[in-house]
Amino acid sequence: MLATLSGSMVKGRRVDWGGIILYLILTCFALLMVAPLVYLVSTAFKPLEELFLFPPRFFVINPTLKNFNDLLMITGASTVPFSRYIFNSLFITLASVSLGVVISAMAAYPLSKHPMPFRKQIFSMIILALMFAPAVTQIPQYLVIANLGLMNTYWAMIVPGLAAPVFLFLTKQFLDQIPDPLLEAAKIDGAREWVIFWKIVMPMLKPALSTVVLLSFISTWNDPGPAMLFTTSESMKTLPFALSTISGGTGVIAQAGAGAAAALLTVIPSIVMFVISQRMVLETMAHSGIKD
Amino acid sequence: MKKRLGLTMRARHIVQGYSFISIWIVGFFLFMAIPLFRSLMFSFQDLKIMSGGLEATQVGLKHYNNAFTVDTSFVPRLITSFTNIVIQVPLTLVFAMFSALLLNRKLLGRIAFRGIFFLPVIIASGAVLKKLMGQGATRLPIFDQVDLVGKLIDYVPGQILFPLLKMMDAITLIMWDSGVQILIFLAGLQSISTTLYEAAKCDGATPWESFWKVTFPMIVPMILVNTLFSIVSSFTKVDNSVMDYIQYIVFNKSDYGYASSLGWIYFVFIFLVIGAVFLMFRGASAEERR
Repeated sequence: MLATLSGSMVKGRRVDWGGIILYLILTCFALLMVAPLVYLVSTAFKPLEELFLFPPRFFVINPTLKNFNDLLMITGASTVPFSRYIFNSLFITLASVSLGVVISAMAAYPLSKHPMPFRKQIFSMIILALMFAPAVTQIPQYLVIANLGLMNTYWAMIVPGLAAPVFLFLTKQFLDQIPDPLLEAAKIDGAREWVIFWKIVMPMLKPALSTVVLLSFISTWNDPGPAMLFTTSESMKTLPFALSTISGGTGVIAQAGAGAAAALLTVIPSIVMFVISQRMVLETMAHSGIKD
Repeated sequence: MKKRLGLTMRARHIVQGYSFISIWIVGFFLFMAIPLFRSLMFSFQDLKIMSGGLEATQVGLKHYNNAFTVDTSFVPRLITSFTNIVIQVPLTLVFAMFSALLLNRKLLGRIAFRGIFFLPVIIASGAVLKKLMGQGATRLPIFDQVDLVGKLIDYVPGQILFPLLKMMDAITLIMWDSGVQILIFLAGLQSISTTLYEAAKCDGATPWESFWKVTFPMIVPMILVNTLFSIVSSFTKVDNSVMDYIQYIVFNKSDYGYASSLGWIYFVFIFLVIGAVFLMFRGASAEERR
């Protein structure tokens, strides 16, 4: 398909207007797409008077490192070292992403490839759960966690996210496209289900799973919710929660700069994660043998 | 292999299937199904936080009545978020489709462009996006600066003009929101077999025709997935006005029973919208869907 569509790109020495227009459009879009990142970076370096300029300006005029200094001061003054928040966040995010992906894939496999009773019902339950506003389940979730005696533990922040229906839905959609004969061939060769899952299903799903990993990393890393609900002690707080207390809501002017710096720093792990998984995510389908 | 427990082939298959899914099911029941069921119970109750826990009194359908008759801000918010969907989802789909078609062409730096188009998904989520919106960075400033409304109102009737301007206003947000959709469309485009295009070309189809006769029909299932994804994500986004309101009632007013009933009304509402979309697609395509 690429070959047929790209016919218009190169035509000897004639000026290729189609190609130029294509690049122009893409560049315009790309500029708009980069805008949030540029804004984030430039805001982090803005001095106080520029932060509250009206009308707000996009770019910074007199860049300063003061915001980062402020951030260090504020975090240095708290009782718990800042590295503790980072560790908490990293640990919780990594644990819930890796466990969540495996559990979702394990659940998606029979849902997609095993003929078993209630399969349809389970799947429609998942779709229904997708539509539910999470705010409403928060307090009953809190009750469940409290009854299990998991308050103030890492478990409380990892486990509730594992059953997220979104990722099961995505994984199952991808799995549906893996051809059945491949699995049947393995079965005929005497492979057990467990072996099939790890040796065939998981490798085939790799591109799709890396998409799921990236999305779930972003959502877990940025979500202050679990820490807000399930912890009361300072040492169990996660980074986004700690940062949301730094910028202190809307009223606190003096710390707005530190908040902007903090926002920039929080985004960095997500970007790193994206750069690592980028190839896999963006080429999702190309190598997964889906075409046959 | 030895025969375990004397099960038949089929039964063993089922047991294996369920053993794979069991962990997820346990988690789902503990953290989704039970909380959902509880919140349904709560929605018929008045809850007070006492020292020993929650104290509940049955109030029947009171909350549901209040939502539509007493509460003055719930129904307007519901309508706002509905009109947002009607305006934004088609725009998102068109934009995502357009970008996916462009990004699927062979061009220099394709990977880089794809990466850039996906970037807002990472950055402009949650807290950062809220900040951007607060600063007015998500609106195109042209409209305010040249007083477009005043100039155009003479030529274009208001009923058409205002929704149109609203669309234009939302366009940056839509672009930032469509990363995942672009990805899904790209995946769909790549799974279309090359031979189809070749056959169309042999039969003398122009690129325009081969888009409508080959690409579009092949990508209809992906359009359905994307529509659902956009609708659900827009309805359950944290900055959605109804979600905002429910959050506010839960955490600021601690009126948990009322918030639960709002949540369930909202759920039924979303369900109806999605049901309508499904019906539309059933009419539009006779092909096999998942």
